[in-house]
Amino acid sequence: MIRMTRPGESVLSAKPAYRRLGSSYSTLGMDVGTSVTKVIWTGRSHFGKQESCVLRLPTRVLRLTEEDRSGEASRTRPVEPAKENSECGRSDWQDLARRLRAAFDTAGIERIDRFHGMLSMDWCDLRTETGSANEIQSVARPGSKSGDIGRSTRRMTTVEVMSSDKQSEGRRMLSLPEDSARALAEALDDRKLELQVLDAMPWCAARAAALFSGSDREGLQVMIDWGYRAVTFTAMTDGNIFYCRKLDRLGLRQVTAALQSEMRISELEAQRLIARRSSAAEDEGPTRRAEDGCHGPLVDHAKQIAAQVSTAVRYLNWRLPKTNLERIVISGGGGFDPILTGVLSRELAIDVVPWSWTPPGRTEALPPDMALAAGLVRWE
Amino acid sequence: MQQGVNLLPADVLLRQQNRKVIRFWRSTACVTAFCLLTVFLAQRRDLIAMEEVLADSNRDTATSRKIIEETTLLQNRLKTLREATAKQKQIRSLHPPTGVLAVLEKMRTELQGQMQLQNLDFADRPQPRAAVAETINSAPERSGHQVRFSFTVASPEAATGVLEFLKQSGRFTDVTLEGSLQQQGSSSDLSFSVRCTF
Repeated sequence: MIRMTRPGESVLSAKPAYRRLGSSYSTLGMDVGTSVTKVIWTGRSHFGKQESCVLRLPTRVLRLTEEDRSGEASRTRPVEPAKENSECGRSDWQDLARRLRAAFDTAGIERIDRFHGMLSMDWCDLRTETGSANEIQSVARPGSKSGDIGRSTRRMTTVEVMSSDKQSEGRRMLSLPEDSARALAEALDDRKLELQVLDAMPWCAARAAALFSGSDREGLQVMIDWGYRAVTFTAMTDGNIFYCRKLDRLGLRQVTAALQSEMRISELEAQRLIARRSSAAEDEGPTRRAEDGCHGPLVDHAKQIAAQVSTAVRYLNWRLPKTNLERIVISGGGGFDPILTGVLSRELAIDVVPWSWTPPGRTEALPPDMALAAGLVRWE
Repeated sequence: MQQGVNLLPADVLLRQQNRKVIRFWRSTACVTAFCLLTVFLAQRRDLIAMEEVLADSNRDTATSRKIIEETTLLQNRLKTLREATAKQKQIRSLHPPTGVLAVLEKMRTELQGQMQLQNLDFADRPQPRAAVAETINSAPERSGHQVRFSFTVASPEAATGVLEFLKQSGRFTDVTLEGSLQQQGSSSDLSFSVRCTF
């Protein structure tokens, strides 16, 4: 059983009366990824019809050089791996807020009653701590004078993930830099966008899995989010988080870097190649040949992910011997790729299905990369 | 479904909470102001209605006063009319057959004839018959009425002649001498009155 506690819980624990009355209010879920920010807005039109809107924006605007634009970089400049620093500066958040405001105005999103956001796992730290829940919270909350249990003082905002297993003394903790959360909230606030909730990835994944499989589904469920920098493995029992693991250095960024070094192309071109693979209608000719060139790195990468996931599944089988894992739901930007799902299915001998969900007011299902934003819309 | 968490810093949440409180009180203040304005307008409307009632009352008072004055005036007129009617009834009771106009006309004629005859001086007139005839012809003739004529003559014979003339004129059914001949002061003139009945 997973329980969470958070600083300032009592502030938002009481829902306003008008929110309990029905679903007439509009909700916006914003998944701030390392590469792309995904937004889902659901609400009702003036005639009472349920509507929804899906937006994608780059989290940070890539500033292309002239060489990037002309394609010279892939031929003349040696490929350099991108910086590992994923921290966004204040100006980046302000720029993102400005573009979000413009996108909302363009999409006709006028009313936002509930604004729920989430920062990807790149900004978060997932670790195991020992000690009681009160001790962990007392030293992790802002303003605490009892020390920071050896961690950086910048990682002050911390939530606790408590395992229901009484035998385990270790407690999985997820922490987020306070300055990142504050910078994002203040940048949005400057654009008249009041971020009310900043959720974390495992909780959103649990709700997204419930949306995909049905909230009444019991037993063990696993959801893998293949993001740009990391893969997050989340296991749920009876709809609640049981185990979460962050698989570093296995995100799309690593595939991009592998393609860069093998095909000697720029990072932007490698991203474009991966993005083209997600389209259903793939072109023949030079593009097809270029995609064939990225088949090998993708398979190698999928095998690495499968090995890590296999380890995690074995851990789950050891912790939950009486439960049976029927399938794995995959989400994130990598969920488009059939290579990953195929390799995972073969390596794990488990069905791997991409996440999808059709929100009310839409006729077409949402793709796997919108899973966490959909989970944010259903924040409770 | 799995409940979510909120990683926003406490001061951001507190600021949002303060905004909510400010918005709440702002909306509450707006609602309160609206209610007060409604009450104020309702009271003002009542005041206006009361003023209208007072104005109507004042207007009614002035109307009532005017009506009372007119009523008093009418009552006075009615009283006058009643008095006049009573006087007319009294007069009618005195002169039932002829009415008021006939009586007045008779009185006027009597006065006129009396004055004319009083100025008649038979002594100075060479033709007394014509004068007497003119006098008696000027009196209106009505059956049953009496007219008193006064004559001044110079001698008893003249008086007799006048009486004879009146009797022989045929206009009167009866001619009666009232009283006797009266001497006019130190002069030798004689005056007498004759009551003639038509």
